Formats: sequence, C-alpha cells, structure tokens
Amino acid sequence: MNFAARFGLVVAVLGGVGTVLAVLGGGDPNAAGGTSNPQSVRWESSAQCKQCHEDVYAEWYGSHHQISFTNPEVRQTSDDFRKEECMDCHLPRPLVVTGFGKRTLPRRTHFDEGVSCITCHLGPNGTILGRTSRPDAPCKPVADTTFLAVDACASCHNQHGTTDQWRESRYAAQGTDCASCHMPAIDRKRSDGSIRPGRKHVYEGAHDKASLQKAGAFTFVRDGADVVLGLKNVGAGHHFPTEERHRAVDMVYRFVTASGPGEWTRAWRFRNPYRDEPTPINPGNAVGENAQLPADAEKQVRVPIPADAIAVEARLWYRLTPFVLDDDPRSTLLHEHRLELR
Amino acid sequence: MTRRFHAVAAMLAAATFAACSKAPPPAAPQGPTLPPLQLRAVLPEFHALAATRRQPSPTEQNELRELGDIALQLVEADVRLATRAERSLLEHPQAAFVLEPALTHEQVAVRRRAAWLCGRSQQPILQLALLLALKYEKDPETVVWLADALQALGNDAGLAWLDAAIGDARTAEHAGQLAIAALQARGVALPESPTWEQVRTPLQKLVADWRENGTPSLPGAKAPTTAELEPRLAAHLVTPEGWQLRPVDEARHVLRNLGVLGVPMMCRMIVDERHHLRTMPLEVLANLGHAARSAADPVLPLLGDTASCADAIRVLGEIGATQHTAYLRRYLADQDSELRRAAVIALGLLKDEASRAVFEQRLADTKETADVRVGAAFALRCFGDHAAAEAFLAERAQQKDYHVGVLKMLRERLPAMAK
Repeated sequence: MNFAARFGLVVAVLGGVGTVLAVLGGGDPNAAGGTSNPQSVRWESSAQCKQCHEDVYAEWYGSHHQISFTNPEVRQTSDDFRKEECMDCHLPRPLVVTGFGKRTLPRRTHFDEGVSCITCHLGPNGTILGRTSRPDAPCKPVADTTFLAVDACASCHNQHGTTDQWRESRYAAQGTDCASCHMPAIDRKRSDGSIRPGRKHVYEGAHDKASLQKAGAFTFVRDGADVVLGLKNVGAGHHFPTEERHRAVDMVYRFVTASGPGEWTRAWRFRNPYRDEPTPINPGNAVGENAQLPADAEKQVRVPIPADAIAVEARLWYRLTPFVLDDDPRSTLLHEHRLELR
Repeated sequence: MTRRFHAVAAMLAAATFAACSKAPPPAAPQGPTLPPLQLRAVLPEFHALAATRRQPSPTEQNELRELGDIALQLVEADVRLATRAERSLLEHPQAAFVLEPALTHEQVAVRRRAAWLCGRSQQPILQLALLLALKYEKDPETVVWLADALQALGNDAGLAWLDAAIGDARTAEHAGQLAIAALQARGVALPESPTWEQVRTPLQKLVADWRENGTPSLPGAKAPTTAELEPRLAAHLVTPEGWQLRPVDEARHVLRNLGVLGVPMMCRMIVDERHHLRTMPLEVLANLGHAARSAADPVLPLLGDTASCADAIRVLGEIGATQHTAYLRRYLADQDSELRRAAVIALGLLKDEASRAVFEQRLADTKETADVRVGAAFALRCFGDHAAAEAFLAERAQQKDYHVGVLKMLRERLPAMAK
C-alpha cells in the first residue's frame, strides 16, 4: 500500500469513528437545557411559514389562535398576563416540548403570534410535522398527524373540560373530532396549480355567528295555554356553550299585548357558574350546578300565556360574558321567533 | 518517510476526531459543569403535608364559635363579657378557625372587625388569610383594615396597600392614621403633624426594602412556625396539578406577597417530576426578585432541564444570582431564541460586564430575532445610558412593530436598574 492509500485509509477510519462518537455523544453533555436541531433551519416563528404557505398564514392571522396573547378581552381577564398561568395556553411553547396532550409551557418570545404554526406543527428534533412527507420542501415536513388529533387540542382546550365533554358524546364514537368542525377540510392549490387536501386555519367557534347558530336548534311553539321554548344541542360535539365559565347562552321571551311589547324575560341560561357563585344559574339549578347543554341534550321551558297577550317573541343570545346586555357587542343574537296568539 | 506519515496522519486524525466529536456552533463560553438535577415526585409528599393541617377538635370548634360570635359582635354581649371573649379568642392557637372565614363574611362590619382582630392576634400565620382576603375585598375601608392587620403581623406588603389607600381620597385619612402608627412602631421619627409626603416617603422606603429583602421591618415580628406554615404552603403549591386556574392564581398571590417565608417550600417543589408543578414556583420566585436570592443554588440545576431552563435563567437573573453568571453566559449563543432572550435579559439584570460585548453584537445583528434584540437593548440599558439601545427601543415603540405591553414593561423597569 502506498503513502496516499495508507493515509486515506487512516483518515477515513478515524473520521468514521469520530462521526460515530459525535452522533452517539450528542455533543456537549453539559449543554442540557439548550436544544439540538438536526435541521439546518430552526423553526420558531409563523413568519417563516408564511413564505410558502401564504394562504394558510392569512387564515391564521387574525384568528383567535393568533391573537390569543394580544386579545384585549384576554388581557383584561388575565390582568395583562400578570396571572402568568394564563400564558401557558395563550402564549404556548410548541406542544412537542411537553408532549401532545400534555400541558403546555409558556414562552416569552414571538408575543404577537399567540398559538402559532410552530405550536402545533413542530415535531421532535426540530422537524416540521405535516400530513405528508415532503423532503423536497424547504421545511421538509414529516408525515405525522399527531398535531391534528384531539389530544393536541386537549393540551389547552381541556382546561375547561371541552375535550372531556367531547369524549363523552357520540361524536367521539363516530370519529367526528375537533378538526372536523373547527378546521374543516378544504382544497388548497399548490404553486404548480395542482390541488392538495388541506384544513382551514380560522378555527371558527365562539366568535363566529354561523358556527354558533349551527350548534343549537332553538324551537318555540304554543302548547295549549303555554308557550314552550326549547334548545337542543344539535351541532356542538361538546357542551353548548363550552370553555370559559363566563360564556352564556340565554333563551329570552316577551309577550306583546294591545298596548305594546312587554319586558324581555329570561327563560333559561345555559352556563357553568364560577366556583364561588352564590346563586344558582337558573331557578331549579343547584348552587354551582353546571347548566351548559351537553351534546344532543335538549332543554325545554314552559311559560304560561297571559290572558291579554296577542303575540309572543323569543330570542336566543350567545354572550361572551354573562354581565352584558343585548346591545353590547359581546352579545350575539343567534335566533328569533314570533308567534301570533290570536 | 514512515515517521513523517505517522506525524501527518496523527495530526489529521486528531483534527478529524475533534471536528467530528464536537457539538455544532455555540460560540459562547460553555461555562462550568452544572450541578446534577434529580427530579422526583414531590407532589405526594406535599399532599401528605397539606393534610397535616390541624383542625380544632369538635369541642374546640364549639368553644371557638361562641368566642367568635361575641368577639365579632355577631351576638350582643355586655362589655365585660365581650372583652373576655375577645381576649380568649386572640389567645387561642386555633383562632384562625373563626377569624379566617369571618374575613369573607357577607357583612362588611364583620369583615372589618375580623381584620382588626387578626392584626391584634399576634398569630403570624394569619398573614396568608389576610393576603387572600385582600385579593378579593372590594370595600375600600375594609382593605385598609386588612392592610393594617397584615403589617401588624410583620408582613410589610400591608404597608404597600396602606400607601395605595392614602392615595385614594375615600380612605386617605384613615389609612394615613394607621400608616403613622405603623411607622412609629418601626421606630420611624415623624413630625407631630406630618404632611402626606412625610408619611408616604418612609412608607414607600419600607415597601422597597420589603421587596428587596422580604423580611419584616417591625421589631420583634414573629414568623409562623414550620408546623403552621408548611401545610398551608403545600396546599397552595399543589394547585397546578388541578385544571382550575383560580387556586393557582390564589397560590401565586399569597406566595408573591409573603416575602422570604415561601421560598424554602418553593425550592422543594421545583424538583417535582411534573413540569407544570415546577413552572408556577419558578415564576413566583422570579416575581419575588431579590427577596428570593436564597433560591439561587436550588434553581441552578434546572438549567439542565429542557422544560424549565428558560424559567430558571429568568429566575437567576431576577433574584440577582451574580454568582452564577458563568452558567448563564452559554445561553447567549443557544440555538433556541427563547433561551437567548432569557439569557440576555437575565445577564442584563445582573449587569454582567463579561456579556456586554455579546449584547452589543446581538443588538446590531439584523438577522437576530426581534425578541433577542429587544432583550439585548434592555440589557445594555441596564448598565446606564446607551444611545443605540435606547434608539432601538424607542423605534420599536414608535413603529409598534414589537409587542407594546412587553416593550412598555421592559422600559418601565429601566429607571430602577439605573439605581
């Protein structure tokens, strides 16, 4: 063997040994707490995703996920996030850090991104998770739909029991999951004009009138000397309303006489009370009893018709907080009916 | 020839080996070896500890209720009986059994009297109940009574509430009188008819000292016994295990206003194997600032924990752990911007001269994330005036291209850093 051959062999063997040691050793053992990333790019911000996924970014931007840290309602409730425990979900580190389905940790970067692309799509070792593997794409997504599973949403949305409510409903058994309604399937166009299946990233829910209207079937009929107001949870795979305890749905009515309409009266409020609320949500509820309407459940309230009534009107309101009146922007009129009684 | 071959081969081999076995980039110093971290299940231990809180026996409960009804003036009694009942209640080691619920009684007069009795009880464990009552009390006058009781038990957070009440026209007179008495009890000399400023200036100085040290300024103030304190703190520290946020919020409020008293228990909880149980005490330690400086060594190993590292860096900066700057510097070049940001802010708060050049680099690096650049500008401003850093922060404020609230909070801290 000549010099060049022997030299090459030694370098190759030692280089190989060095590489194996580097891989097995994982670098500096004292650098724990810092993070390693086999990819050349570190994915930290939704702005990085925007370059290729402008349409998805545009949907997400302005959604309640994106504004989860900047939303004035949340900032007020969390005392401008002095209640730091609120940050765990309103400014979360990627779900993968603690594991999908487990509680999230707060971050203190990218404050305007709230629940960002990275929150759900970052995978182990800095990879990006997608529905298909695309080694040719800049982010080299790895096929893994863990981020679409109910467990991923549960990391935050079970704080108020929403995913547990879903698990107890028929929707869980039939496989209708969070994404089915809140991230419906849509077709997306690639830059080459081809179509790929995707999901809508607007997360319509409590802030979307159409979604709210689909959740509850509001009925209003005359039955002899009474009118019967009814609400059935026909469209939500969890309680209606769900999530925070201040979300409320009100069934209200008023009778109209020859002298004009009377005052609106609340027939029933659907809401989970605060822990220390001293009075029940409705007459007939116990103190502290949850009066939200479970999936497929129905509630009817019977109201006697006064002798002088000529008509009766009924409305269904969704309120972001129970302390607001009808003319407040935090109240949304979902349905209204009128029955002529004469 | 053979010797030359071996020499060249050995050099190349060493270089190849070194290049292959080294971790990628970090240009920052690696720093000393971290102490080992041993996470374990602290939760069951804390649940057991919380369960040891002693409840009065049924006989004692009856006795306490009777004394309480008279002392709280819920029932009528002649002066002599009332005085004896009041004294007996205040001397009873389980007085909290009736005083604590009375702090949230529906009648405002009962709440005020309960606060007053707490202040006279000389039972420092009642600080915790007073703090919780202060969190929810809406009646301004009752807030004054609660604050006064708190300071009387040696918790100078009460002085901050008194100071705030002096600033409120509805309570200024009463709060002022109580503040004068509180200052005199602490040996502060005041003129016979002091001005508001003459009262508030020493009051605010005591509050600042409390925030810095977390120890009472009241001569002879007693600390609660371990047997009293630990079960209650344990009950607060297990709350992140549940899903309800309010108990966590209450725990945070109490621990943040308890000075040094809660620090040892928080240092025990931060090694729990569940990450969400570590987070809350770490955040509270950061909120406590220098008063929690004794947590520096217990927190240090958490730098080796991926889930807690950013929080640990933050804590070490906030509590003034200057002895650990060498451990923190390595994160200035971490791949994770979360850790880089935490490190620049922490080392800025610690006024770490050795990191100053790195702060300059980070601020000037247009490829660096906005979070780290803002952090670097803040860090440079912690040393004093810095034109480029101030200009960068001012530009962010003007252009509103960085989170307004976070930027405002950082800038508001700068005057205190200049001192």
